[in-house]
Amino acid sequence: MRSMRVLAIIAIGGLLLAGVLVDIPDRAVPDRADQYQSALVAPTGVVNTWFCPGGSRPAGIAELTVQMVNRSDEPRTVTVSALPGGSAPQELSTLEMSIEPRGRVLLQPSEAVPDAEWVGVTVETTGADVVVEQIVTAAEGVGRSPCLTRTAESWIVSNGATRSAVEKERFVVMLLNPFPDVAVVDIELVADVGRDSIDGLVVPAQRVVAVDITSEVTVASTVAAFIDVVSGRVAASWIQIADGLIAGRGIRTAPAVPGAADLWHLPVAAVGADRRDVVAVSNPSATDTAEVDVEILPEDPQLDVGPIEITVRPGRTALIDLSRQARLDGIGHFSLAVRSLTPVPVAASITSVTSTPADTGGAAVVAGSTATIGADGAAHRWLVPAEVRDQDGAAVPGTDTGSLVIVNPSAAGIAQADVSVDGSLVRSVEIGPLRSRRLPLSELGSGNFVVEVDASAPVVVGREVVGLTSRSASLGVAVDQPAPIAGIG
Amino acid sequence: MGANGIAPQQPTVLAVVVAHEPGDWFVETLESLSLQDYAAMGTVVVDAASSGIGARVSEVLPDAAVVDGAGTTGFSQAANAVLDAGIEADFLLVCHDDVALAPDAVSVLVAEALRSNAGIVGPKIVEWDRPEIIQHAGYDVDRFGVPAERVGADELDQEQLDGVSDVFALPSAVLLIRRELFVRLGGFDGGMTFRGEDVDLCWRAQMAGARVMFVGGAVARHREDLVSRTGVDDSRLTETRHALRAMLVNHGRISLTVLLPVALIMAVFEILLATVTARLGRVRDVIKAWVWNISRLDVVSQRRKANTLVRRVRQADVTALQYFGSVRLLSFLRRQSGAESSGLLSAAGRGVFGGLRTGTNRVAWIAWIVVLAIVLFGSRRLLSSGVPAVGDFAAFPEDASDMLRSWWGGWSERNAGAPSSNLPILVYLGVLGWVLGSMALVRTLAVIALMVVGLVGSYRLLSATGSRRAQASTLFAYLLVPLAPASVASGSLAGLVGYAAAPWMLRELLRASRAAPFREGPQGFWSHAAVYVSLGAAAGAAALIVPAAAGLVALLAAGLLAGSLLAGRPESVPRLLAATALAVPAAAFLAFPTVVDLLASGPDWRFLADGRDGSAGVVSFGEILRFAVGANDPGWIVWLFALPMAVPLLLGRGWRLEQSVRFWMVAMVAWAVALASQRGVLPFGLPDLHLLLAPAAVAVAGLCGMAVLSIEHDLRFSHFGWRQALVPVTVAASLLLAVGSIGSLEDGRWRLVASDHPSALRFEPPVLEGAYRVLWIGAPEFLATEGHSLAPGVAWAATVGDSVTLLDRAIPLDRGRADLFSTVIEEIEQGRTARGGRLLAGLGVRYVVLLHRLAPAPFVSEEDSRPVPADLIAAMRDQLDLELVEGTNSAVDMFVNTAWVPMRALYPPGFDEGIEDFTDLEVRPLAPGSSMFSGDGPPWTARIPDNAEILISHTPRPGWELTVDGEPVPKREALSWARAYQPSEAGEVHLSYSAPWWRHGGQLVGAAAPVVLVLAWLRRRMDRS
Repeated sequence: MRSMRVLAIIAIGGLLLAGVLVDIPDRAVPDRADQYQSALVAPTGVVNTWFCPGGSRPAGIAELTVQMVNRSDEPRTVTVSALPGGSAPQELSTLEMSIEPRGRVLLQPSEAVPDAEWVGVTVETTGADVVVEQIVTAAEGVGRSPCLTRTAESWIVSNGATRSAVEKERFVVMLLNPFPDVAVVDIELVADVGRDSIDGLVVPAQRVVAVDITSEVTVASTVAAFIDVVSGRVAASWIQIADGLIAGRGIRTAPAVPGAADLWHLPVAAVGADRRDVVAVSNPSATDTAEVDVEILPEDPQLDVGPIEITVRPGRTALIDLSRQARLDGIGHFSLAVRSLTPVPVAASITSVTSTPADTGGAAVVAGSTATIGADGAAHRWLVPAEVRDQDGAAVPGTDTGSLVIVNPSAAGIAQADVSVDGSLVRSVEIGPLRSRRLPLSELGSGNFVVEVDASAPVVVGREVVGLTSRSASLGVAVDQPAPIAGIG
Repeated sequence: MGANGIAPQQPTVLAVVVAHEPGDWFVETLESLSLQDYAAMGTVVVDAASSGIGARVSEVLPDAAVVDGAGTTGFSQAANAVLDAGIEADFLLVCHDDVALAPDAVSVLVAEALRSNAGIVGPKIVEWDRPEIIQHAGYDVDRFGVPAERVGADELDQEQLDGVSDVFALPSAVLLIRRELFVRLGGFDGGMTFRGEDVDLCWRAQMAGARVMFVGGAVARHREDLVSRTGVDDSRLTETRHALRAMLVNHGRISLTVLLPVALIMAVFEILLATVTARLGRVRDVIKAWVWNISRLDVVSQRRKANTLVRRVRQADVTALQYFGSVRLLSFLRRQSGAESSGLLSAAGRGVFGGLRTGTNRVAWIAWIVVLAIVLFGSRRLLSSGVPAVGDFAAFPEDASDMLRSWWGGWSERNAGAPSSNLPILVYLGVLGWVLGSMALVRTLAVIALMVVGLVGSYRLLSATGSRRAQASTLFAYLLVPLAPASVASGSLAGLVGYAAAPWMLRELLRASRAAPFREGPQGFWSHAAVYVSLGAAAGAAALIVPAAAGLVALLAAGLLAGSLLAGRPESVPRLLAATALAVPAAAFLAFPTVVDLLASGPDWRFLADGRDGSAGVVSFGEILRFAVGANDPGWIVWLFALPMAVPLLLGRGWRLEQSVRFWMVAMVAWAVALASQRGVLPFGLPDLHLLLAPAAVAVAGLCGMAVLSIEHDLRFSHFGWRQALVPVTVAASLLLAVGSIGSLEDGRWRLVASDHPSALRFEPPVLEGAYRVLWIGAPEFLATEGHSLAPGVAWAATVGDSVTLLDRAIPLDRGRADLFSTVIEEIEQGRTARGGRLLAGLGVRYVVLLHRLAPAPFVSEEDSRPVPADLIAAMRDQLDLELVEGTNSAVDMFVNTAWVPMRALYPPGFDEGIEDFTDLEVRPLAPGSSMFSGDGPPWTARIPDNAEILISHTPRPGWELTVDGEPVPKREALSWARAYQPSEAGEVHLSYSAPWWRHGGQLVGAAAPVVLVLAWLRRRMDRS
């Protein structure tokens, strides 16, 4: 009896102790699939929706055109809904159309809502192989960027300017609400001349609202907009127009950044006498200062350039004029990685102004300005709408026809990337760790075409398109689920 | 002076022996009379059968007279024969012919009659062959004339009744009555042949002002074997008949006016009970008793008149001597409560309330009164305001007929719709609702009843130990274990069912193990079978409400098995295994036909896991040990249970230690399984944590009971030391526990929130715009119906209409096209569509509700929330056709599907042209049709025009039929999953579902199964009594 009692006490005590020990380690984290969402991920469902926050009607400051490119060998049906904006009462208008295999359709949605001052578009496509871009045209040039593939509750526009009198700058934030319920938005504007805010801005259901920051914050050489959607969700992009000595001449449009992250890649960057690239890093935190390194990823594997170290105060945006960074002189093409060293996520984008030099040295330089948001995700497969054209429809050798940039964000592995156009492999390139590779678009195709990049490891792909009279740059469109770059070793 | 002579200086006694063809024992009867030490005594033998026993009498008692009782019927008339014999004696000693008096019996009786001036005195009557067993010690009698023995069955004569006491009646086997009184009363009631005449005589003697006294110093042996002598067992008939006669005759007008209707109601109740237990003989007896008395109302009237001449005492004074309640009812209830069932009112032979007056029984009664008072007090707000539809506590349909119709219909609209195997619990709840007139009341009572059932089970758990204190301790401990409050607070029906069922299951398993002290009763096939059936019945009854609860048997058996091995009793292992296996048939019988359906459709563990996927939970081991699960945290005070739990382990000896080890292992197994579920180490989901902890709860309570047993039995063997100190410490801890648990009583609802999601959400009534579904997404515990796992800790369920009721918890025979919901949700979650509303519209979903908390804010705080993953919320909000309803409670996100079309609608022909696959709806959304069949159903009826098709969005299954003017309508597949009916002409359409006949048959068997088992149990109880 005594031995049984002792045995029982030991066994029970041991089991209780075992339970305590078993419960000490952290619990298994629920194995949820990686739900990382980038604003520029091409959806892969049966029906995919693109959100083009839009531009103005033809008589406005930036007429909107939507380009839809079908990269498949099958015709695709798209449903385009033109969402009106402005004070005139106007209902959403929907039209359905088909795109030929490997075809391209340009659409001016303002024709569907003629009374609207502003117009945005949602495009619902069958199949995952239609890429939608929005093109805004103004007297100052043409800007283009892929449309968004998601909406969000917060957006950041890092770098705008409103020196309307001297530089003829105009800065407009476009908000598109594709949902059946209204959205309410608060916008905080942080400019070099001070702060302002727009509270309780209502974006009606299935409408667009153009917020002309120029009238809110005047004479700011730099202004950042932190957009907080307090009710509902919206898609946001921005349009910057300039025609001045400092700001240059051009129009650029880009999606807003849907959130902050610890690491961003900016594939397209360069320095040059006639080119001024400015990196904007915004810290949306209200309390914490971010210590940020802007790392240089040169194409030349032998080069090693030290990072640019900056501090971004809470709620502020830091601008880095790459043209003033002596360390970048002569390194050729490069890409950038913006890394927050503190656990304070930031948002990054880059703008570029190219002006026509007095002496072009025989080579045609197209002036213009571009804007590219950073990529915080990398993917194996990318689609990049491209255009290479001169006045006759063909590229002229020796001219800047734009480029495709592939960045390997991995610090450890080499990425093998196959570059195809119209289903045919054009180039196969190898990209070392934390290196980028630039391919002239003229070597890949001519006219309007879609470049497909299929890499052995997650990469970031960007492009710079040089048109006849303007330039544009943007990220490509990832067509598989991207992985956060911060998690790539 | 010889025994047969009469001594003039003493009160004379005449023994009146009524003989009816007595057997050999008669000599002993006569000899006992001859050997009396009372001198002034003579004997008259009434030969009731006129069988010529004079020779036998004279052989022993030569001076005895023999009176021919020819023409008399029964004992009473035969005894009354002496009235006509002109016999002169002071006392009559009325005797049966099968008694044998102790030599001093008469002298003691006479002496006491004189000393107490009693009218009637009677001896202690013991058994003929076992004189150490007391047979009669007088009767207590209720106001319905039913006597109750003052001794227990087989009660040993330990001189406990050797005193003298007033009683209401004495058995006629032997009684000494003053002759003058006997004459004045007119003797026995001649209409009462056998049985009951003694009660009537004594009742009238009381009316006449005579004392009726039991004299324990006088002893007589009694064979009492009338049935075998007459060959007719009419004891129940004669007892009932004569008790009624006595009541009719001896009560005053006022009391009879009150009591007669009560007696009639009780008779009806008895007839009903006997009918349902198939005791037709009892039915016949009760009816015949009443008919017999009604047909003799003239005699009753005559005897009532005669009583007026006799009465010397106020009726109220006589009635005050009788038992206030009903002996028959009380004895029935005592048998059901497990008290001694072999004696009518047998608790130690101390009268009707004798059982209550014993110390241990008093403890039990007080414990029950306190426990029930606590339960009622703790439930006061639930009783007054109802139970909110929180968690599993789905609302009941307002109309009881809906419950019955749903059960019979055999179709569940849940998810995409599927044939269902509705458990018979719906029938019983429906009938109860019909009886009570309120389904809401039934629902509230059901919640409280589950707690009470568990408490009763806990009280019965240690009944085999014979210690009422241990039982009471177990009862209190089970009340204090915070599982029941936690289950109520979390809306966990599974937890409550586990709480109710676990004690019963554990008790039967212990009986099956045949480990001491659970080896009660004879061991044989039938007793073993009874245990297996009882165990199966407990499991089946639990499964009627929550199918997964049947699995508790396995959990408990595993614990007992481990405990038996640890206690060095491996012989229990095969018995436990056998019991677990052999309980299955009974459980399956109760759960019929669901168990057949489940087997036929293939075992589906997910169904039992209720939408849980085996991912890790948030409850720590410490919280598991404290039962701090769900919405209720009882605090540190629960740790105090450790003290009483340790006591039997430290003090116990013998079987007490062994059983303690078993209880500990039961708790350990339950805690281990609960920990495994929370650690996410299992590849599959487990049922509700509250359910898993039910075995631990009952084991904790059982250990508290064992603590009392150890203190009662084992402490005395210990030397003075720390063990003695353990007792006050344990008592103090228990008191602290009790006081600390008062907090859960504070709000009167066991901390269940006061409001529910249905009251915070507003859905359009389906009858206005058409039938629709609601898609619910949230933690499995928050869903009112069985969920389907969606992501770790997240499940979904779809219901039809603007309310979720118990009917939505019906068990579908298959998943139907529930896969479509999973597909759509996955499409949305993965961001592969922005038109999820169109897809959901194809399923008739109008609302999507994301539940972040168990109940609306502020009733559940944000700290207690388990929000739907943010990416899923974002994905939902990304849908272009799902409109977020602003202003809803922060505990939910509610979306309206702007692309919704009614589940049942009228369309032009070919309305779904081009939709080859369900996902085509994303491209080709359905146009809204004209809603139809939007009311309650099936069946539905409506009128349709020419040239139309009817879309019915549910899983196509045989049994559905749509007719136009009675003619079946052809149908085709629509939307790649649903059905479109194609009427050829206008007319009145009728849509109905009929389950196959064999399913209805199975449902009837299933509904009858609980009744059959209850009747079998009742019959067994009554047989034992």
